[in-house]
Amino acid sequence: MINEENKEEIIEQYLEGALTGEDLQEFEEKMAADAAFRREVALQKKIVHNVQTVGREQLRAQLKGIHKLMLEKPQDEGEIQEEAETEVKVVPLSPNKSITYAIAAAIVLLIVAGIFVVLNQDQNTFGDPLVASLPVEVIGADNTTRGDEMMDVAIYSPNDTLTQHYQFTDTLKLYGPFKPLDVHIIYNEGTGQYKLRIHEKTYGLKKTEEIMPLEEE
Amino acid sequence: MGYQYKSEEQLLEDLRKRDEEAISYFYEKNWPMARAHVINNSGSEEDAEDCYQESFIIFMIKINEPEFEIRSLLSTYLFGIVKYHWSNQLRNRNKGGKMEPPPNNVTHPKEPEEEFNLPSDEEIQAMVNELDPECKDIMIDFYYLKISMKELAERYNIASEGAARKRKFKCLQKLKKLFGV
Repeated sequence: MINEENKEEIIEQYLEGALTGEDLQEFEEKMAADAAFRREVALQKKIVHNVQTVGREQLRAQLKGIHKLMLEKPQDEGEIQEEAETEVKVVPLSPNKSITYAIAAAIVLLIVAGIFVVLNQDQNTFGDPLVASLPVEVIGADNTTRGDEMMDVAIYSPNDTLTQHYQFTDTLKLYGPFKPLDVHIIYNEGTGQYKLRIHEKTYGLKKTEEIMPLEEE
Repeated sequence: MGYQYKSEEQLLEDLRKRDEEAISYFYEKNWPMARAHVINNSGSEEDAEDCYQESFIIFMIKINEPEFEIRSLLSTYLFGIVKYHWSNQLRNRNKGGKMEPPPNNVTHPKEPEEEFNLPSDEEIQAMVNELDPECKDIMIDFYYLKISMKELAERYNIASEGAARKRKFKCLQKLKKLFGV
């Protein structure tokens, strides 16, 4: 039975689709017969919608405030620094055109030689690795999880011999078709073991100077 | 002072409580990853900020859902939302659309408002903002962040879930009375 005490609650149940049976029938009959009640239901619905809007705007404003303060903070060491703009003074190479052309020709020859050397390097040293600082999922001895530690990971493209391998010293080097976003590192404090999880597969990691194959557990 | 991180479970609890220091800590911690992802995928600095904040909002709602549980790091979960959100934005852009915020988490069919002469959205929002702070927070926590009655009772030192429910409806009644209902 709808009354002044419970009508907000019953209207809310109706709006959520939770009213059933006789309660629903009574509600619908009241809606059909009472225009003021229909208006009240519509108003309550609109109020809830706008509370959600206010909530969202409040949270968004809070995040914008955090963002602004964050950008105003002095940057920590180790973060990527914007290069300072410096005034560059252009100095002519040489007033003598012959010398200028000779120097330019020498530079071109050096570049060509450099390209030749680079193209003939072993493929696993060609090209820079993708380096990312990734969070380590630390499982504590009490089975709690922490995520405040980071590890530098360098990912090298695979080559003929290194297709799914790793080298784990102070940093972790991965050899294979991996993307930083797919790489998850887990450290179990209880066992002292590191593991790698990539695409639902888990691999054990051993600290060693040797390059080891990734073996699924 | 700054937030003192202890564990993922503690961080989750603090984020759910909307602890300001926890929110600042988590926001700043994950910004570099989100920024790098958007910028490396055809986005601008402004896109990165918008996408990250929209994703963070979705995250703050998701962590209050009853079925949410920590299966990986909270950062990983947030980053998944960022990736998903940005890829949707790129898809919309390619179709000629612009960055739109995600809808409120309750959708409703369009009502023939003219029939009832209801107050405008702006008028209602103004009244929500003029509610006493506790009523406003209770309403936002329940209707927007979908916090459970049990959690609301704990958060606002209310004796029971039933009493929390009554308090919430009293706040709703206050608002309705402002509009003559």
